[in-house]
Amino acid sequence: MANTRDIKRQIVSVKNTQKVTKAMKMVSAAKMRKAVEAMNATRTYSEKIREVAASLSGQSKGESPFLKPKAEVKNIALIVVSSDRGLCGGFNSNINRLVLTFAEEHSDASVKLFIVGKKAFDFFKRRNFSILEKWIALGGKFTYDTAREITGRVKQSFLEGVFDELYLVYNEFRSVAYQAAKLEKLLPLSFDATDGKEKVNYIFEPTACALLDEIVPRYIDFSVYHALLESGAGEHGARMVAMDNATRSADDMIKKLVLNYNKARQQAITMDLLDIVNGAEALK
Amino acid sequence: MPDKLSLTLVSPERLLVSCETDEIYASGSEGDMGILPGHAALFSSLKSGEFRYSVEGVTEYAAVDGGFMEVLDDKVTVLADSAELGGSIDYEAVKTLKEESELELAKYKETDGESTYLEKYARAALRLQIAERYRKSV
Repeated sequence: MANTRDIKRQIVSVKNTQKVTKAMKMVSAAKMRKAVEAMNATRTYSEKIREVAASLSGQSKGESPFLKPKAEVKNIALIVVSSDRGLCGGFNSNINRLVLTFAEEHSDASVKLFIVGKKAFDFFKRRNFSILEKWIALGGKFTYDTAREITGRVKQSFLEGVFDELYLVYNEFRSVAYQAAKLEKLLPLSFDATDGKEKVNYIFEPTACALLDEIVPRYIDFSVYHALLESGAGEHGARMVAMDNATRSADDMIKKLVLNYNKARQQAITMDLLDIVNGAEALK
Repeated sequence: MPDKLSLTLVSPERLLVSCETDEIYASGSEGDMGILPGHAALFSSLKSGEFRYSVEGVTEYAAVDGGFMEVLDDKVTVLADSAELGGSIDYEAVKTLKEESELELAKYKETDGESTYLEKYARAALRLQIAERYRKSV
């Protein structure tokens, strides 16, 4: 039976850990709220640019190289969005697993990675993946300029012919407690034909074709920005849930330890009593 | 015919304006244009420049750094690459920024970095112009 003093020390240490997890949970909750707000702020733009791109592509075939499918797909690139920091449950491992499965399925092509976030970078570096570029320590704050920086590099490599297809892998923020790892094809772009909507006879300035070519790079920028925001909000959500679980486990552990402590204490008292009784008996 | 245009000005990062207006003026890539209620369906790209709209006789200014504008059934949607409203521009800060970028631009003239500095300068200059206009109007 453990010494009462040892158990007491353990209880104190678990309590301290619980304080930390509780604080982290609250911080994550606040950060998540902000991230969700930022995500909601993009909703109008997101709806509109999708709608416009789809309706334009229904009317003209653009000449942008981003729209042309390649005859042969030899090199596939992935933009992997993960977090810089851990302690967020299965958030990063979901992403990593999805990428690994994808690489296995496409073993006939060479898979290259653009990585956002330290966690995925460490993981794939260990496994000797070919990493084209990494962006780490962005601090979980994603601005449109960050996205532009990433896409600038990605678009350039695409035009240089470094890869033929591009996918985006990120955690989609479904709800506070649920993030789904998602794989989305980004290049070559294809838009769903106008979903049953009436065609409007716009006056195009300049031409529909030129407009489509102009909107395509922006669409790419925005898709990446959107993925970063989803992932950012998801990260905080995942961390909040993980920390909540940790806080609750700490509670359970404290309960168990307190029980053990009391048992040990009672046993010690019983022993003492026995000693006294035995001593008294011996004196008779 | 309706007598109002409903305007939505958004950048990827946020929604800037959503209101009813009487008249809208934008710098299209093919030339400046004014939009009044009853305008035909239009889709145009915008170059960076001044954007203004009037609400009950008061003209509001905004700096728009390129993007697109859609006019459909008296609903005007502007998808700006980035934008700032006249009232929210810090005049002094933009002024110093413009001066700084002017110097930078002179320093990097005819080098590889020129285009980035040119862009920075153009942004600052546009914002300063909008801020000045906004100051005059209030």
